Amino acid sequence: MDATSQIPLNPRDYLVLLALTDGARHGYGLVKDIEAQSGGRVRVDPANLYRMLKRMISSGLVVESPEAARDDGDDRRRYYEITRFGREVVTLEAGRLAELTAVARSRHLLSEREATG
Amino acid sequence: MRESGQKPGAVRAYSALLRLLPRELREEFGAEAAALFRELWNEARRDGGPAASSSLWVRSSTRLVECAVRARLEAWRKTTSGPVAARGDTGVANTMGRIAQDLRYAARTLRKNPGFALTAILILGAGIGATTTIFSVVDTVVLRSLPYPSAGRLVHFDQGGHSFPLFRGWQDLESFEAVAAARDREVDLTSEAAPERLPAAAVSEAFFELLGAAPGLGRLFVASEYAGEGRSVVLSHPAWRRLFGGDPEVLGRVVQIDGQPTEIVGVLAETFVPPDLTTGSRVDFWFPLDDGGANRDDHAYHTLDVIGRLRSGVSLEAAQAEADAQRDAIAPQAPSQYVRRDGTMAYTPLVELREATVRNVSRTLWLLLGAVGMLLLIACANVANLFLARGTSRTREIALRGALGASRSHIASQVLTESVVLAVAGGALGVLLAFGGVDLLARFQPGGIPRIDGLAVDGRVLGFSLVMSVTTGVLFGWLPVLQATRGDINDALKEAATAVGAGRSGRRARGVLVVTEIALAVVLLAGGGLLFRTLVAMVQVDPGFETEGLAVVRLSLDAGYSESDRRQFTEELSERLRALPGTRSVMAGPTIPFSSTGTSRCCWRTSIVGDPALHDQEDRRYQSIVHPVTDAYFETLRVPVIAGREFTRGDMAGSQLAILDEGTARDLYGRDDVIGETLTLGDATLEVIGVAAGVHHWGLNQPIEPAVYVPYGTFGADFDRLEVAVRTDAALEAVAAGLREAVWAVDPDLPIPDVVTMEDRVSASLATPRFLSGLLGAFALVALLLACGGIYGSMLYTVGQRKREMGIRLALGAGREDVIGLVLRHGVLLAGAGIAIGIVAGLSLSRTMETLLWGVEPTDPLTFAVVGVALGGSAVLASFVPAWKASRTDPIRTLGAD
Repeated sequence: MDATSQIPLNPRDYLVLLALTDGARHGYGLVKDIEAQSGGRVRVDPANLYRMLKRMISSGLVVESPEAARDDGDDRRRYYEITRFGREVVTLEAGRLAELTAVARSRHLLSEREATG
Repeated sequence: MRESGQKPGAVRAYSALLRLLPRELREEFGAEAAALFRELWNEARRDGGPAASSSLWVRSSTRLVECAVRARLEAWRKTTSGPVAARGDTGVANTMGRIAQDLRYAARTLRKNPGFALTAILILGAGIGATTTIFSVVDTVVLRSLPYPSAGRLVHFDQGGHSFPLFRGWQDLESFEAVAAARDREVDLTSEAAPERLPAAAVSEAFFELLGAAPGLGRLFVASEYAGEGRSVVLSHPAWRRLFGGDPEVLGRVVQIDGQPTEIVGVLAETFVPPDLTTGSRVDFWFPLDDGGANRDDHAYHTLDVIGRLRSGVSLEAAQAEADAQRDAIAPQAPSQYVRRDGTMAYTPLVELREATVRNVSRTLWLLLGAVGMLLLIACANVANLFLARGTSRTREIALRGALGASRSHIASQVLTESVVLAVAGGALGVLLAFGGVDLLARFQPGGIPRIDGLAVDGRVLGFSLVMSVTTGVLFGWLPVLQATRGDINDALKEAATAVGAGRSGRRARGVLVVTEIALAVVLLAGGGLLFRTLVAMVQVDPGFETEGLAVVRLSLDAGYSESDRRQFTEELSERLRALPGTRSVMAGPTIPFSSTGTSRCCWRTSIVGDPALHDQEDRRYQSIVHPVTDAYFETLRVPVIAGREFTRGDMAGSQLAILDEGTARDLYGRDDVIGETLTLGDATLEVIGVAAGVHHWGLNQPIEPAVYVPYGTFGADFDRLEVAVRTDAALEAVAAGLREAVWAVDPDLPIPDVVTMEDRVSASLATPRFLSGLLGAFALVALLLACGGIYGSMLYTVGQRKREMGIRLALGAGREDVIGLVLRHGVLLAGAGIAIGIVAGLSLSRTMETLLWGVEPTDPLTFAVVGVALGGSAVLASFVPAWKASRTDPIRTLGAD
């Protein structure tokens, strides 16, 4: 499957994949990571989280990771990790957003602090 | 900590809700989702207490429901459209999610600007509330179908009462399934408490079935009772409650009605509403209609109101054709009744019953709805202005979103969502206000409005209100949407807050809105002004007699009274009334001034001949109402007797005399000096003994009509109606008590309605113009306030926008007065345009209210001029504060801000 066919990504999907680039996560971990990433603004609820995960699993962006669970000694929970394809896609998306931000910066929409922060 | 213990209620509820998810998703991840929620909930409870955990629960649950919907939609799309890559948000799921997102965003934005939101909601609430209230009335009275089976097929045989032969003929018409007749009357109930005169109706055999009336208790009439056997009565439900306390044992009871023992055989169901047009809205007693008795075949005896139900599939036109054909066949039996003087046939028009019931008021009600609709438009314009002003300050934010990929339609839908949310909130407030408004209307309505008893804010009205709210939201949201999505992003991203040309198109739009508001306000004010002048004109009419200090009451001497009984009663009563303390004089007669008002006339109209020579020259017959009156009639009313004298007590014993009003005298004889002349009244020949001044007998807005006065003793006793008037110095209660005593001393069984003052009756005749001018005046005042508010707000905002420009001007040497003048000029220009447009619109629209006006032309220049000046003055005042603020601009501060 071609990574560009997945662009542009749904903002929430982007956040999930972004969180997973740091390593495998279980549900609770994902919720907390996304919250931290967005400065407390985005709080995903369980139902939507798993709906997104299910969709991303069937698109091949995410996969379940039993090894990660064993490593953490927490095999009650299910862990999810990003696939190589998923990495490709999230990288493409990040690039697209960066370009847009560059445009915004050039038109003085963002103060120096916002642009770098 | 309860993590390892039993599940808290919130968690259990959430798990239950998970069942909404599609099966596949639920099986794979349901348990996990439940576990995750539990973890988050415990954490929230620990960190933030029950408030945090509750809000988490609410949020998660609503999103769970959303999620379930979206997931199912996605699944459905996949099955119907093949293997489309389920990318993020697409299609219907996308729209639903976006709507939810827009709603959340709108709610958040409005919460951040509570002042704006509150103002908008209040303004919209007032507009929608008023519109909903008036619509309730229109719906109840005009739009709703009558509460009878197959109401659409019910037809009224129009134009007055009908005779028995006509009724029988109509019953034979093929076009009708059933035809029924009713005769309304009043009866005396003398066996309970105090004697009472109550509204009643006699109805033919098909009547109850035609209107779907069923007995709530007992039975309705049987064939033998319609044939005249026995004396039975059916009670209305309210009468049963009021007179007999809802006693189920009332069946079989015998009561005295009109002096005759009558058996109660049934009580009508509570749900039955009498047909307003045919029997009046209140009927206490129902009787079987006889076959006419002595008047069975009399074509000239018109007492019946007739209705019918068309056969299914038969059109009104077809029925009319058949009825007309029947009329052609009947006419030879009584040509004087049916053939007009010029030889044409007079047909009875068939009109849909609902239309016939409401036609007198429907026009006025639609006018009121139009007026209140204008008020709503003003409210919309006001809020749109608020939006535009606010929109200019959000330009940056919107431009940013646009730059980051939000499509135009997305931004548009978000702005529109905001306005619809505001409008629906305003609508909710409006509905609350409408409940109160409907109550007020029901209390202060002038009477005479058919079907008003069922007035309520019901489902239909709520539905209307909802549609109105959403439409309103789209209406005033449309302009800000245009503003948000049009316009170059570049321009918007420049120094938006301080650029001199900022929001130029916005300013034009706001100007147009202000002009529109003012124009509409002018129209409303003009309408209110015209109605007010009608009221004033009517109040100023001199009725021709002295209205203060007169107590009046209407008695009915029908059951068991012969002519000589009536004469005797009148004489005795007058004697007793004259003896009451404070009485100056007493008079009586079937028709005294203001006994009824309006365009209908009662009770004796005939042709009269004065000077025969004068009449041969003119073809037309001189028709006049004849008033039988007792002696002291003119003295009691304080109507000047210009020539001759009025009747004495001796004249009551049968003299053939007449008194004319001055206009009639001149018409009949061509001169003023007519004492001693002969007057021909039907068969009688009378001598004219006096001429009196003219009187507005039938209402302040009715002309002075020809009147011939004759002695009551000679001519009045065959009328069962007797109006009694007492000119007195005593207070009303004392007179009323004395009068009741006096009447019952002569006839203890005679029901006595309320004794009122003549002033009350005159005032009641003003009820409708007073009500209309009050209502429209209220609308107009609110409109004025809103329009001025609109000007004020708009000026204030413009001044704020142009602060830099003002600063520059002041720094360059302009005086403060110059700045004030600048702003005022702008305001005056807008107001001037609005007033001009409004006056033109008002002049063309006022023609539609012509029927409501009296004593003033719809294009009355004085009214329009006053309205123009008033609005102009208010506009200047409203512009003044912003102008003054502009002049206080500190040039150093504004220029130094960069």
